[in-house]
Amino acid sequence: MTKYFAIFKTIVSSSTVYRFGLFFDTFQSFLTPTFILLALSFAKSSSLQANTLWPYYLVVSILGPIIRPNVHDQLYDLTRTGDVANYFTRPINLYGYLFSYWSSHKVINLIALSPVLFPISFFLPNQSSWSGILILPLCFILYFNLAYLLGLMSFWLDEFWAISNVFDVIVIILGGILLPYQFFPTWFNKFIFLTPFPYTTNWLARTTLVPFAATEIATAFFWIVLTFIVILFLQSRAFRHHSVIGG
Amino acid sequence: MPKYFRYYFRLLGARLGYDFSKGYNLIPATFGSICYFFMHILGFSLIINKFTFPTWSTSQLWVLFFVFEFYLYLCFHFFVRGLMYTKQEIARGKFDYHLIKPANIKFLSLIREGSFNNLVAVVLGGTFLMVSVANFHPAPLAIFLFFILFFISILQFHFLSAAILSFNFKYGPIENSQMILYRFQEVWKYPAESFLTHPVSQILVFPLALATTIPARLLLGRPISPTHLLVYTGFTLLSFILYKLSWHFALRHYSSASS
Repeated sequence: MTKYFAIFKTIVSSSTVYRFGLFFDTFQSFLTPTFILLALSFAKSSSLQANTLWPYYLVVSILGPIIRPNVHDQLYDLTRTGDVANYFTRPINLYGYLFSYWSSHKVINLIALSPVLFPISFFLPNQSSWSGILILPLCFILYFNLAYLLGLMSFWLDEFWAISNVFDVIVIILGGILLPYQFFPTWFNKFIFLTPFPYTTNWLARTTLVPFAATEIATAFFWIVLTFIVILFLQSRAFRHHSVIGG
Repeated sequence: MPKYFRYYFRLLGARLGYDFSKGYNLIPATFGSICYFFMHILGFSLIINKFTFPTWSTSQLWVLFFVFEFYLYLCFHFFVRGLMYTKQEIARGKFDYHLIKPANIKFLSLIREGSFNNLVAVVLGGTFLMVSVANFHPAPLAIFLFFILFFISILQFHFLSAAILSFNFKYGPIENSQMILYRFQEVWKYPAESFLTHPVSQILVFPLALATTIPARLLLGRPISPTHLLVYTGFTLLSFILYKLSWHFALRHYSSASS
């Protein structure tokens, strides 16, 4: 446990040194939703009002820096440079290191965003959205597992960034980051809940509008466990497949 | 000037040569790039299915949209690699490599892209734009002026992205600062008038949104307000001054001991 706490302290230390970076990291996720909302507030619609979308987009913006780790790209860097070999032997394993690295980052982002997050939550339409705090770690772990699983592909693929882009596009669309599910056709809304993606971002954003069902927690748990099992299976194969030449 | 053209085309040739040497790996690489292109199309079509923009017909909105795609991917094609690597070099103290060269350091450090995947997206954007604008029969003069203003818009992107990147000299490595202007991409997708509804966006977003709206209006044969043209010109000049000043002052903080 001490070694994971040491990682946390390192991340806190780097975040306090590069404070401008922390500001950039949190500020960026507000850009796209803000511009979409501004554009839509000028546009006209018979079925949707732009001002009903702001709680959703606000939560999506806040969630970006809190629950979406860039672990797949980091894994790619580690495999490309051969640094991943440092984690093949104990005292620290790769999953544990990356999990503590990114969870520390996200905790710091959560603390940085809390002066905005807490006052805003009082103005959200669904006041039980406070319970969303409980499902926040689940969303983070599920996203982390999905991204980690994808990152393991970098042990086999040369042009990993391309697959990483496809993953990002899938998460942006299916996670409801670009547009809420009201924009999509009915068949899409039936299909989407068969995938893990609604439980990454959309789930929490929806709690600002309607309370979440207990069954959703069970489904999120199911996806977390399933992805973790696949990670264990793939990771051992990935490590065996890895080779580093040169120094 | 010929020196810079020569430099750019050599870079493009080298980069394309490298990309083609990948063989079958080129296919996923290209797909990975253009998946964003199609994501934009999907997102935009879902939005205009639900919303209408006053004074803009659906076909006109598609022209504006493909001007945006063409613009965005040209900006990726020219600048993305330069922005990424310059940021790394500043952080690692390797920027000296550019400082000692007898040429414009901003050009050398920031323009070094030329990958095949972004070029494919540029060609796709250009093709879709030609198809969507064909019904509007733009005059040859309008097409000529479109390219002039489009070039100015690309310069505007270059000035602003370079100005933002220069913060790395002073404040140390700022994560994702090289991509910050690309995060503004939604602004170029919609008519600039959309951003006149709020006083803050009037000042901060509207001038940026004109980068695609003004060229698109030219192609569509729609009138351009003199005020909008003045804002566009003023903003380009302002971004140029900002770019010059920020590099001038920020570079003083650079030391090859890394920041």
